[in-house]
Amino acid sequence: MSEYPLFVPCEEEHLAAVLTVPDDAATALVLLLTGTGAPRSHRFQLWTRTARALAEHRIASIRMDYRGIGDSTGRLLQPVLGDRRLDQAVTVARAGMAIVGTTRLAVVGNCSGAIVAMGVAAQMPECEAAICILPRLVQLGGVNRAAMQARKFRIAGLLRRSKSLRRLVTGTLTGTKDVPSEPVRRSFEPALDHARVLFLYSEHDRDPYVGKSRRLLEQMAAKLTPARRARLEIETTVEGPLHGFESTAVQAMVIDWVVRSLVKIQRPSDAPAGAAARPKR
Amino acid sequence: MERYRRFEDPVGGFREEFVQPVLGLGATVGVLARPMGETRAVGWVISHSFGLEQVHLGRLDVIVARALSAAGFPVFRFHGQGYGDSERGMDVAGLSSHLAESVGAVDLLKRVAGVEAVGVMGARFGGAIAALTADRLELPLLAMWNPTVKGGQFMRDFLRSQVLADIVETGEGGGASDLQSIQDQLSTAGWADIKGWTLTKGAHDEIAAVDLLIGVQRFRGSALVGAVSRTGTPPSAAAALTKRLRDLGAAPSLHVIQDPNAAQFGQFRWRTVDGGQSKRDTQLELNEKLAEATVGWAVSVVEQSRHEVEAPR
Repeated sequence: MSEYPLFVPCEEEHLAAVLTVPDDAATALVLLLTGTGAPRSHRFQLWTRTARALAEHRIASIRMDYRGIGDSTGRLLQPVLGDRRLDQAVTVARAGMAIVGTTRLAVVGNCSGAIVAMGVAAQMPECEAAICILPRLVQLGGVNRAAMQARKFRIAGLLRRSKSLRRLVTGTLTGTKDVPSEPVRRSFEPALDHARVLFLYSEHDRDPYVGKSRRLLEQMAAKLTPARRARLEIETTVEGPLHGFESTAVQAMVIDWVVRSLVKIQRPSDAPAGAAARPKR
Repeated sequence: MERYRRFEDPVGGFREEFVQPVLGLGATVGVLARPMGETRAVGWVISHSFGLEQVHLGRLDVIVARALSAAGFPVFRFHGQGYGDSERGMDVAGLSSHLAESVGAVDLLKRVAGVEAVGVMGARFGGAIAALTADRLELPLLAMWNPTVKGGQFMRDFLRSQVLADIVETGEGGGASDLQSIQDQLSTAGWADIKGWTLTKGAHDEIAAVDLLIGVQRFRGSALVGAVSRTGTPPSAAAALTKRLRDLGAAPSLHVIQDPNAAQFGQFRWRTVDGGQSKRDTQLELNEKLAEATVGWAVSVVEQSRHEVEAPR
């Protein structure tokens, strides 16, 4: 296994990335994406460890810093969900595929990185799979947004102590109809036209957003055509919480699950003739 | 692939190159930032903090490195073992590994063409590593931002973060008994899972024993003690360290930067806004202020030292 740190040009910026390639010819490339703020290796070296585990299965990977994050250039004060990060991810994926010399791609992301991953799958026909860990899928309305924001203030304590007020707020948060956010709306079904899309949630993530997202995902799945539905997998693990990966056991579980899923999807025997390749120097 | 290892930023006035040296116990990834224009003879090594603070303060290191390079200084930053793209895992990270890597990084930078003297810098625990490295190698320059002066306090806060997480998760526990149970686990198992970080007993004990007011003994150079404060009053630890350095015969400069988010310095810096629809970096503007203050100080001490050398006797 070898690792190559790179600055990938992207418009006027340079995106930092690390390409990991197996000693034997790579069967495919996996793009590893983080949520807002985390650098390419992710917390606790999660993606570094995942990349090295994938390399043992002849799968190359590239992990990247978005603009203004990690060692990338640019200034980032407040990213917007689904903003130019998708363009950045596609640029890095294409650079990685060109260097490795493969036409096979999969993408993995967590939190907002999972939304970007879905976007990559929708935009790149050569993307065979997207793994989405703990993504928030819902577009909140004004009332829900205000309720979410209020959780951080003193009034939240008052609400938690009062049963009737708590019921009112919970009813507001769960009773309104949820709709997918714009980036999810744009990419969910187009991704499933050609790629397998895997979602991973945990029973232990109690963020109301997660509960809403899981319910919404079930609703979205029910409306899919049989062909698209066959490419969708939703898994809820009993381990967790996944948020922040703040347990060594959860980190190990996530790495193992991601690697097993990708190995299953991208078995070398499935590779089209000539797809296996070595990196171009 | 070679052409992707470096880039130039003519507008920013710096260029950067990825390097993959062996530092401490294994190979790692670092970035050498250099000026586009005239290069000064002084280079800087940036030592990062411990645990998840390496992630939270990582962008500060990048912003400072680029600002210093634009001002003419070569700067080297890197991932220590157990962090980022390094070869080894969290279980090897501790005071010894951080110090060995910092010393190795100084040695690496000294071999860069044109670099005649090296200074070290860092935030929080990285500041402590910078101080101990500067002391051990008797370097002429040192810069720290909210340095960890007492390792015992740093470790207690580190362990408490797990206790607090347990309280939030389960609604139970808290207090001295839980801290004791973590200490017991460190003693019996040799390690403990602290919010996802593998903390070994060796790392805990080494770091807990750090006391810069005793441990720094030989440093006689110029030092920036940067203090981030909500009120504008420097933390007592920074003031005590400044006095200690002065007593040793060094030339410390205490610089206070007032910021409403000072208490969160070194912690998760992305605040959810717009009802959870977006996040905002609460530390970006502070990082830029720290970079500006550091560059101003570095340029002034280097210029002053040059004038003293050039002045007719």
